[in-house]
Order: sequence, then C-alpha cells, then structure tokens
Amino acid sequence: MVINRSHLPWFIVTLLATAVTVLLYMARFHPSHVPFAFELPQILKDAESGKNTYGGTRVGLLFGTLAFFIFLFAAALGVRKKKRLWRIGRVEIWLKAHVWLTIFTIPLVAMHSGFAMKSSHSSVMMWLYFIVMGTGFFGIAMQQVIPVLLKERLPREVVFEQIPHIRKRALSLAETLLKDCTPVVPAPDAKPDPKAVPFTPADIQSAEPIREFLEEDALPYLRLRRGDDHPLSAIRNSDEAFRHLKLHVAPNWTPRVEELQACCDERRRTDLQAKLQHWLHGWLLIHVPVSLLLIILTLWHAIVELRLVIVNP
Amino acid sequence: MEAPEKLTTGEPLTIEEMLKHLPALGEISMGLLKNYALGAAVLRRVSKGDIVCREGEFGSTAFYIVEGEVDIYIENPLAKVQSQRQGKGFFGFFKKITGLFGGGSSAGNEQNGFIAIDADVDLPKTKPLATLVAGDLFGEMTCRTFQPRSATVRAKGDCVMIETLRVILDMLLGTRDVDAETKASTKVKLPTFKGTSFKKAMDEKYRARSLSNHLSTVPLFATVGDEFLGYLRDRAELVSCGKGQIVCKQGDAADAFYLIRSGLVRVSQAMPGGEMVRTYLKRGEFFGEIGLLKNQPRNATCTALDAVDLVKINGDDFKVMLEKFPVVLESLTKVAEARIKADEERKPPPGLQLDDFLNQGLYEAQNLLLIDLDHCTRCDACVNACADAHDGVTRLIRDGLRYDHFMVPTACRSCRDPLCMTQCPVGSILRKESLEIIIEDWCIGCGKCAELCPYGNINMHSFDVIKEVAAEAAKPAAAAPAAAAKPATPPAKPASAPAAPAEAKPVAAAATVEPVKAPVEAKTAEPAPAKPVETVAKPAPAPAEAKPDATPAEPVKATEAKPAPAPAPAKKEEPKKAEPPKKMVKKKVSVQKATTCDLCTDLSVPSCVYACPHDAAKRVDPAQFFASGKHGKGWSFQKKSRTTH
Repeated sequence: MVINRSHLPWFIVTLLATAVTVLLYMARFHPSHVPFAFELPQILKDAESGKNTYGGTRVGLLFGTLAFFIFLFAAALGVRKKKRLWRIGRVEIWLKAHVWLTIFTIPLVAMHSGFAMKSSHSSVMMWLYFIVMGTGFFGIAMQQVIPVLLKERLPREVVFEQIPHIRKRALSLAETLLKDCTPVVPAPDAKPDPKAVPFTPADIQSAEPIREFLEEDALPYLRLRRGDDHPLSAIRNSDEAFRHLKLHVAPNWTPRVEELQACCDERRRTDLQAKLQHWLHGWLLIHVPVSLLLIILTLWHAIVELRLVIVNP
Repeated sequence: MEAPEKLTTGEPLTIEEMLKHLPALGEISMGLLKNYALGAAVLRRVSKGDIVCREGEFGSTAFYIVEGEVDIYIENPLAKVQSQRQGKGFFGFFKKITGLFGGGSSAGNEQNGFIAIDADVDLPKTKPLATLVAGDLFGEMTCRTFQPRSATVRAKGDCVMIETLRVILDMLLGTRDVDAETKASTKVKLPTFKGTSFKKAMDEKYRARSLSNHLSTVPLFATVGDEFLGYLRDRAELVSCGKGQIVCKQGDAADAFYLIRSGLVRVSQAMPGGEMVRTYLKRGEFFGEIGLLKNQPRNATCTALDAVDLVKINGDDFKVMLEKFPVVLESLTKVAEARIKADEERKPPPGLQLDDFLNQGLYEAQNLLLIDLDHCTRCDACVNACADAHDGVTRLIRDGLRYDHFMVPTACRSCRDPLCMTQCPVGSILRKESLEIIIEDWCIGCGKCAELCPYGNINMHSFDVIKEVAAEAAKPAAAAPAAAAKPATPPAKPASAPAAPAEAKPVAAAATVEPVKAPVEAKTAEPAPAKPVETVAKPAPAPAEAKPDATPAEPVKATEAKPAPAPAPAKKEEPKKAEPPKKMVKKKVSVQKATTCDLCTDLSVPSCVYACPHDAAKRVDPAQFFASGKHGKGWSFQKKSRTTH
C-alpha cells in the first residue's frame, strides 16, 4: 500500500486519538504535568491502591482493551481478503484501517505497560509486538519501493506462478541446442538417417564454441535453483559473453545463439522478479504467524491479569 | 473464407429444373445462367429428422424450401457462467429468504423478447423454435457474409429444398455491392445482377406475413395495438442496402425512420480525430428517430455493414403516425433522449495527448481496467475476486501492455467500436446502456466474437451443463451414427457430440439446462409438448397466441401459408410405423460459451476493483482519466472522482 494523500485523514485521526490517549495517561499518572486544567472522567478514576501499576488501572485497562480489539480487527483483515465477494467495505479501506489502527496501538501499548517491561511474560509479549510492528513497517516500506522497481527493471513481467515453467522451457531449449550442436557419429552398423542434415566444416567450427559455452556456462546457469551468483546473471557479463560467442560462429548459427541469449535473459528477468516478489511478500511469513501468537498471548495475558485485578483489586 | 465455385453435394440441377423451381430465374439471360448458375444450386431431399445445418457451423450456402417444413431452432442450451456466486452457507440462506420478498432477479426479465436469426423469423427466447415452410428462404446471411449458421434446421417431414451459392441469390435478389476488400480477396469473379421479381415476391410475402409480426417484436411497438401495426404495415417501404452502403449521412436532412429487418448497421459520428463508431444495430432495432423528432439534420452516419434489409417509414408518415399514436411518441422520445445523452457523455475531452494512447487502442476503450504498477503488489486479489465472482472462471488476466505507469490487463474495454458484436450469428453479444458487453445465455459457442476482439479479451470456456438427451444418444456408441445422420454440411462438433434432437428437443433443451455448479433449486422444467400451432397468417397484427408468454410450450409458426400439396415421394407412400416416444435421460455435457468481463454488472463496483487492497486496480474512462493530467505520481493522485466507480 503506497502511503499517499489518501492516507491524510487516517493520519490526522490517528494523531488526534494519540493526543487523547496521552492526555488521559498524563491526567491519570502525571496530573501535575498537564498544562491545562483537565480532570479525568469519574469512570476512569480508580480507588487508591498502593500498587505501582499502570495496566491494572482503569485507564490502563482501557488502553489494553482497545489495543486488544485493534489486534483482533487487524487479524480480521486476513479473513476479509479471503472473502473477496463480501460487500462489507473495500479491501483497500480495510487495509488502511489495519495500518493506521495498529500504528495507534503503539501509544496504547506503551502507556498500558507504563513504558516498561516488568515481567518475563510481558517482555515476551512486548518483543512479539515489536516483531509484528517491525515486520509490518518493513512490509509497508517494501510496498513503497518494490512495485516501482518491478515496473522499471522488468519491462515485461510474467505470472509469478508460471516462473518454474518458464525456466523449464528455457532449459529445454538450451538442451535442444546442445543436442543440435553435437554431431551424431553413426554406429558402424546403423542405417544412415535420410533426414539428418550433415554437418559442414563451417558447422563443426561453429558448433564447437556453442557446445563449450552451453556446457560450461549456459546450462549450469539455467539449471541453478538460484542463479544470482552466476556470471551470466549480470547483464553486462552476459552481453559480453554472447557477443564473444557470436563472433566465433557462422552467420547461420547466429539465430540459435540469439535464442540461447533470450533464454538466459528470460532466466535473469525471472530471477529478478522472483527475488523482488520475495522481498515484497516474504515479510508476511513472519508477520502473520507472530501476529496470531501475539493475539493468543494477549488473550491469555488479559485473562490472567483481569483475574488478579478482580481477586485482588 | 472462400465460397466454392460449384456445389458437389445433392442432386445437380439443370437450367430447366432451376427454372421450374425458381421461375424468377427466367428473367436472367440464358447465357449468364449457363455461365454462372450451373453447379451453383443443387436439389436436396431430406428425410424427416435430418439436420440440414447446425448452428455455429460455417457455410456458404442458402436454402430455399420447395416442399415440406423444417424446424429452425437454437440447440445450444441457454446457460452461461454465473456472474455471481450463488449464495452458500448462512449468507446464502439469508439471501434466498430475502430474495423471496425482493421481487425476483433481472434474469427473469431477460427471458422476454426474441433472438434474431438468419431467416425471416425470430425465435422466442423462452423457447427458441419456429417453423419454416415451402417458399421460405434461410441462410442468406451465411451465404453472403460467411458468418456461422445462426440456428439449427431440422426437417419436420420429408422435404425438398434448393441449396444455392451466392451467385443464385445475387441473381434472384440482386447483387449487394460487395466492397472492394471482398472483391479483391475473392477468387470467384461475379457479374452484377439487378435482381428479379423473386425479390419483390419475397418482400411482398414478408410484408403480408411477417412485417406485423416483426414490428410487434420491437420493444418500442410492443405495447401498441393492432391498429397501429396495420397503419405501419401499409405505409412501410422495404429497402435493401449493399455492404458498405450509407443509409443516412450525418448532416443530411432527416427524412425517414428505419427499422432493421436483417443485417447489421453501424452508427458512427465524425469526430476531430476521425470517425467514431457509436454502436451497431441489428435486426429489430431502429434508427433515424432523433432527426425527425427534433426537426434537425442527422446527427450520425448509418452504414450497412453487410447486406441489410430495412423497413423505411417516410418522415411525413412518421409524423402522422406519432400524432395518431402518442404512446409511441412518448417511447420514441425517451429512447432519443437517452441516445443523445449517451452521445454527450462519450464525447472525448479536449486536451488529450495522443501517442501510444492511440497505438494501443486505448482511445477506443470507454471503460478500461487499469492497474497502477507503482501501487500493485502483484497479490492477484483482483484475478481471484474475478474468478470468485464468475463461478471460478476468471475474465481478467493480469498481463498486458503498459501505458505510462499503468498496465492494461486483459479484460473487456467496452470499446467504442465493439468489433466483437459485428458477426455474432445469433446476436447474443450485446451492449447494455452502461457500456458493459454482455454475452447472453443463447451463445452458441461459435467463437466468432473471441476471434474478432482485437485485444484477446473474450475467451471461450467449455463448461458442463445437465441436458436432457434421448436415452440411446446418451450412450457414446449410439451417439455417433445419430450425429452423422446425413448432415447437409459437415458437422463442426466432434462425433461424440450429443445426437440430433428428438421431436421436442429444442424446447426441452432450452428449458431444462442449467450449469452444473448452479444450485439445485434452479432445476428443470418439464419438456413441453411439441405440437405445432399455426399462427399469424392474416395481414392483421399478430394474435396473442403467437407471443412467447401466451404459448411458451408451442412452436411459433412463421406463417400459415401452407405449401400447395405436392405429390408425395414414393418412399412416403409406404406406411410408417409410429415412432415410440424416446426415453429422455439427463446427462452431463460440455458446451462452449464465450465469456468476457461484464463489469460485474449487478454490482456498484466491479469485484476486481473492490477486492484490490492497494488501490491499484481501477476502472476508468481512459479519455477522461488521462486527459485530466492527474494520473501521475504524487500527492494529487488518489482522487475518487476520476474513476468511473
């Protein structure tokens, strides 16, 4: 999601909500620092207790509860994305709400915890929260950059799911070329194939460097699972290698070399596309499961802490 | 496609035999007849139940019935890929319950009306079946333009008919000014014929038997009474136009109102960047009313795309007619205002930069799906939403050319010049008021629209339907001989295709087919009895029983004029055993249908746009969108008003 002008209302609302949160926090815990006369609503006032707690106070509970419900809403985005035909608001609105409401949880969580991690339990939760928010911000950052890179560096994208097929096809073409470059030595007792095109001396001279290039460079590159480290993955190296190869082959073999070059170019493009797509979506592999874990722990935290508050107010 | 020079199937006709069956050919000189007619017509004797031609097949001949009767019908089931997922689970149940009080869906309304075919008769949508009798001609459009057959024709009894190539039609009806392109591409060089009394006889027959019928099928005249139809019939002039002939020109004085009897008319307007096609009008539609109603010159040019027959009502008669029938005036005014409004809305805005915009055909588009590549995360939510909305068959492929920082994916563009609509033999592809191209249920799967779409945005999908077929036809071994029962032209479908229909088959097929994935409650209706009823004979307007609502289960007869009792052929004299009623069984069959983006027509926002989480997918009027100059990057980008939804 590109952060642009359309996010301005969301930003303002989040900012205002944060201001109100800070005001409530200051009025409850540091009333002397509030620069103007402000009194907490009666419902948010606690009976005095000797405990040095933030989350257990009514204001703290309000912050914690709000944060928890925002977590639940944020998780509901996953369901919303699966139920594409439900007319319950455009997914774009849901995603904006997901982003900005979870940003709003930063002050809520911070003030609920009193800016401290006092127990190992709350520390674990807080670290999970950091991971979730960190991956989320990383994802947003990727979405600002990667689509533009995809557009600029890949003049023609392919459907991501078809990349393995396209690679297989390129490899198959290269293997066919290798076969064509290898003169068949007929067995002494075999009948001559009338369809076989005999190799001329010029052909033999051209086929040799192509075969060598295929065996040493092109085929290993096309067979690699990740071709990033291969010299042919750099466009400059690749262009140079093919230019050099074309100089050593007869003109009638040039189209075949160009075909091979197209295969390598395609492989390079699909590698780049796959890499960028992994950057674009890979963070979700951490973000989603950790979010779910955080929600489960938050629920557990709420039950345990509320029980303590109720039993020993 | 190239027409053969001679016909090789059937009984060759000598000149004398031709003159016997088609006396009007006597008006052509013997030299021309000998040079061009010999071999161009053959006599076909077909037995009861034989298929003369099948819908969707390509051909180059027309048929003239000499003796006997034939059923003409659309065999392909009336079904399509569902545009909306059927309700499932709790929400589905809730939807069904609320649907009971909601007055029904629009699907029911679509069942009204007629399907125009390549004969002087329309087929009711509710039961696409009619009967043609001796003296009727069918297949003229296929013969002239090589478009696929629009319907299946099956002999009701033993029949004799003449199958002809275009040259005979030209001799009888007159040459329809073949355009230069066709002339250059065809190997068969033909002289120009003026036509014979046959044409006049056909026109008179049409006027006497079918004009009232035809007029009553036009939605505009659907509510008027017999008196009005009689008035029109008496004053209408029957006009024929050749391919490329201009019927009326923009700027000319409006002097007549036209109703299309057959063929396709292109309506275009001159624009600063060239001619812009507004729409195509087909049989049953009309034009020329705006100039007459507003007393202004023609605001568009109407050109015959192929051989077009028109019913022309002169301006003076038209005005008298409107004075006498204010109901028609009211309807016409509404239509005219809607057309004027649509024209105004579609005018290109000033300031549009034309470069790749023209090269990529974007100017042709009226409602373009764009994907902003700076926003798109390639999550495919749009494609998945499209598939979800259309019963699992996506009509959007996230691949296509780029313009600026947008990708134009493979999805219908609602072109200004919808070429896809120009050659549909059954008129099942059409445009609705809000621009979307809709492929109606009676698509016969010929694939012509997919072939014509310059952007590859129409796809052919085979999908399974439950169809009632004769029990023996359900078995693969029995299907082959039945399917191969002396077809007049080679069957386009594979040998394993369902066999030729039984007596009541067309009705049953139309009524009893549903997509396999459709919910159970949309199930079958009982096959209707196939007793034919003769209707619509007198020059007076069509009686009520000819309308589909009144006789939904009975074939509509094109005419009551029965052929003179012909001497029965020898084989007919033999007593035939009464055929036992065939057992019908339900069978899953695969049918081809064309699919294209319908803009999720029942929804306020197309599903692809609604499901995009990144505001990357948008449906826009490209001319407005790109002319606004605000489509670039930056903070001014995201303005809702620029999108059409």
